[in-house]
Amino acid sequence: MYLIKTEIYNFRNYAHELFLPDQHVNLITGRNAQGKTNLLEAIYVGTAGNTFRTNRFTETINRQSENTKISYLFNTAGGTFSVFFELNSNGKKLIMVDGQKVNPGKSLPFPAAIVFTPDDLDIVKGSPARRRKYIDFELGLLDFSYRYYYQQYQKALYERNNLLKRAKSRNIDNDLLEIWNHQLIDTGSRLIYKRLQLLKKLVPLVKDLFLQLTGGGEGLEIKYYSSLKISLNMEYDQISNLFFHEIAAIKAEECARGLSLKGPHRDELIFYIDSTEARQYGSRGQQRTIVLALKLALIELWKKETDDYPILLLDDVLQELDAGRQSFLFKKIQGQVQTFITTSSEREIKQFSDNLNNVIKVAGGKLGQEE
Amino acid sequence: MKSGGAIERLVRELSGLPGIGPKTAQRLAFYLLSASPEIGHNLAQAILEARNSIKYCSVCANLTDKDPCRLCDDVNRTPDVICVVQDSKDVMAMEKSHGFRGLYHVLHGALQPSEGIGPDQLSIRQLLKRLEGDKVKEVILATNSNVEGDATAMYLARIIKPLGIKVTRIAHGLPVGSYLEYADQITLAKAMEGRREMQ
Ligand SMILES: Nc1ncnc2c1ncn2[C@@H]1O[C@H](COP(=O)(O)OP(=O)(O)OP(=O)(O)O)[C@@H](O)[C@H]1O
Ligand SMILES: [Mg+2]
Ligand SMILES: [Zn+2]
Repeated sequence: MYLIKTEIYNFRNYAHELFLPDQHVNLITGRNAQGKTNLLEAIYVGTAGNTFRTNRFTETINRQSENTKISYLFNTAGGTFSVFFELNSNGKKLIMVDGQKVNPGKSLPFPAAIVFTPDDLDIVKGSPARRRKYIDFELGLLDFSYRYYYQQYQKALYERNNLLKRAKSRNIDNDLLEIWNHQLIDTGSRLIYKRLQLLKKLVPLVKDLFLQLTGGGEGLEIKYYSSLKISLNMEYDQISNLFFHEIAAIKAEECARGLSLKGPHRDELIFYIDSTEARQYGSRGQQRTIVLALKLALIELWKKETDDYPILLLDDVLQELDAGRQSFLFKKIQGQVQTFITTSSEREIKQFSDNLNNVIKVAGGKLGQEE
Repeated sequence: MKSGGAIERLVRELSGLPGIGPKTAQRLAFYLLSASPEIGHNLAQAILEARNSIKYCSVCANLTDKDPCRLCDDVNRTPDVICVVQDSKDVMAMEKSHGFRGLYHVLHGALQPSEGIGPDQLSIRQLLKRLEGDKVKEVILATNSNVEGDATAMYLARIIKPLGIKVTRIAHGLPVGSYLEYADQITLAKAMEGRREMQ
């Protein structure tokens, strides 16, 4: 899939711009605070109906305007399609695909883009919540029903926690607890099962890419660490059975603490390099290599599952990679993945100028092509 | 505008209505004040009249202006099947689909601990009362197909099944997580046909 064109109105510091990117590698350059990341963000909005930068989506509306409007034309293996996006200052969204309104609460019926920013180092270095986010919001995009079960699980968890909180002050209604246990187990087991299925496909790709990136020197292991005593080959029924028995056993503790202590919201991924945990002991370079492998694996898996490549958005990360990793990346995407790269230090990427098909200069919310 | 003034109060009351933001509320308020006086008066009167005459049906808990409501009173409906829904608007959607000729029961919500809604906040006791004796042969649970709706259906199944009454759940042919009111008529009728017994 690639973006053929986009027309942006009143998004961040863009008033009105028409952008016709190249089908392959686009380099977006310019001094700081000119609108490079804003452009990536605008592209992302067209694939996800949302932003990757903030929780307050309305702050993307140009400060002088009441609403943002962006139109897109994409090309996929199955033909072209258009997306129209509008966001109003009251938070209301309108999304149309080929002129048909789609429900912005649901996942959009087209593939998303993969974003890679320096902050993604936190997938390895950061909290367990950040790793869950990688699974839920990046890997999970590959499974259409994942988002649905994710939302249902969050809801069940929230309601059950509320019930448990009340139980701290008075006796719990056992009938009600059983009902909410059922909701938690039902949605939670599905979520864990889906995670395991997705990881089963992803992990071999990540390990292989990591070996290639390190010249075969180091071995990467990735483990799904669960709050339940699951094994990776369990079926949905087995997981929900286990879930049922394990929360029955900790009922008293959960009531005393007013919290759900087991389930996918407590699970996480752990990365090991040569048997030591990369989060604590990995060098910055090793951690960065894991993240690069995770992102490239996602692209490969995407291609396998959907028979099409996603769009790749690289925000200020290329210059953080050494020359070897940069050329590895270019080799992987060449001729296949439409890529947008931002940098304020063009020099560090210049040595790969053969790979750049299009250079865009951004200044003060205006786009200019460079010869 | 002076704070606490009449105009501001009107805007505030209007913006408290579902689907109406502050801007729309302001537009409505200024329209009501600049249009001919009857428009405002008639609207206010209609609201008051409806508000004062509409009550809950003492049988099915649906909103009605006479008690028991027209649906409960209709001799052409089969009294041995009760369809349990979350809201009055679900009854309306169901009626539009013409897929059901039994009686209704309106819960006025679903189990939701976060909002302090437990069984006592719903019209469940009133429902159980209707199930006394052996007039009712089947209860169809048509609560929404989301987490709260499912939890409510499960809770009801647990207390109704021991009474020896057949309990069925409306088929999940409905768009996931949706509300009955958005379901179109064909899917609703299909969902009704494809209902399954709850275990
Ligand atoms: N809603 C908005 N309306 C107007 N301008 C905005 C809005 N949001 C952000 N900006 C402006 O956009 C600029 C930042 O743009 P962007 O984040 O794309 O910078 P950048 O070119 O990626 O810079 P860097 O190299 O530092 O990453 C800032 O000047 C900021 O004030
Ligand atoms: Mg930037
Ligand atoms: Zn009635």
